Amino acid sequence: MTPIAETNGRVRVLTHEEGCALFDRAARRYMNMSGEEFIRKYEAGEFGDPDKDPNVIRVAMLIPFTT
Amino acid sequence: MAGRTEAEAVNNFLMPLHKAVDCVTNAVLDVGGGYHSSDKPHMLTFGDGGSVKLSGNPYLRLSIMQWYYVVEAAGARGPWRVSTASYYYTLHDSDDAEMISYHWHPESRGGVAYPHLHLGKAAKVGRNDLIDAHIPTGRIAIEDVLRLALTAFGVKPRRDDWQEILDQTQASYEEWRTWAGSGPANPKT
Repeated sequence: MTPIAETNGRVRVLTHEEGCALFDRAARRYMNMSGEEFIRKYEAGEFGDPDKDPNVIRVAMLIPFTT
Repeated sequence: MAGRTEAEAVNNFLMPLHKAVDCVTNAVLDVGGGYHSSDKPHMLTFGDGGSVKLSGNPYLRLSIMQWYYVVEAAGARGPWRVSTASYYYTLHDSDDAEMISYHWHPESRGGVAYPHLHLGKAAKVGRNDLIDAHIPTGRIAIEDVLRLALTAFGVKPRRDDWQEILDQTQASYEEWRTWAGSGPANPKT
């Protein structure tokens, strides 16, 4: 089966490194912190309900790019 | 969406979604994790994880993120299928402020597990309790949000047959989904 990325130039299948870089850019853009720092605070529950700050859920939703 | 292989199931999941979103933007679809089963969710987003411009309306932007699993399934829904595990569909104003946001993220740390709606600051509703509320919704399809953008917010379709496309992709999604309403206790089901 040909992955869609090979059949459509507007789909990118990111490597783990590319996914981590995307996540880090988002954390810096929306939360003014590194991706690593965001994950540490998120895992520690420091943000509480992630919906309280629209930028928190926006970054948290990208976490699977790093796993 | 089902497939004979894990990769086919993922392709059958991504292709209609990309086709639907293509009605309003030419943004690149980014996929992470990809094409195999895993205990950890895979994900997709558009525009490098940010919001993307929509055709014909410079004052509106769209963010899309989904988590999904590739799981084994029996019968016509197998042997492999993709199961959505979370979604985040948001319309933003031109300053990227959240206007209307449909969420379902049962695996997030904190927060609520049921599908819900947020009216953000850019909605200008003027009530803090409403801004903070997780307004319950049923399960929302991305096509619902795209149709809203096209019919209520002046987004110009990139193709004349957008209604047919959205109807087709949504019908396919609804045929294969395993739940609707408020959401399952286990997002992998």
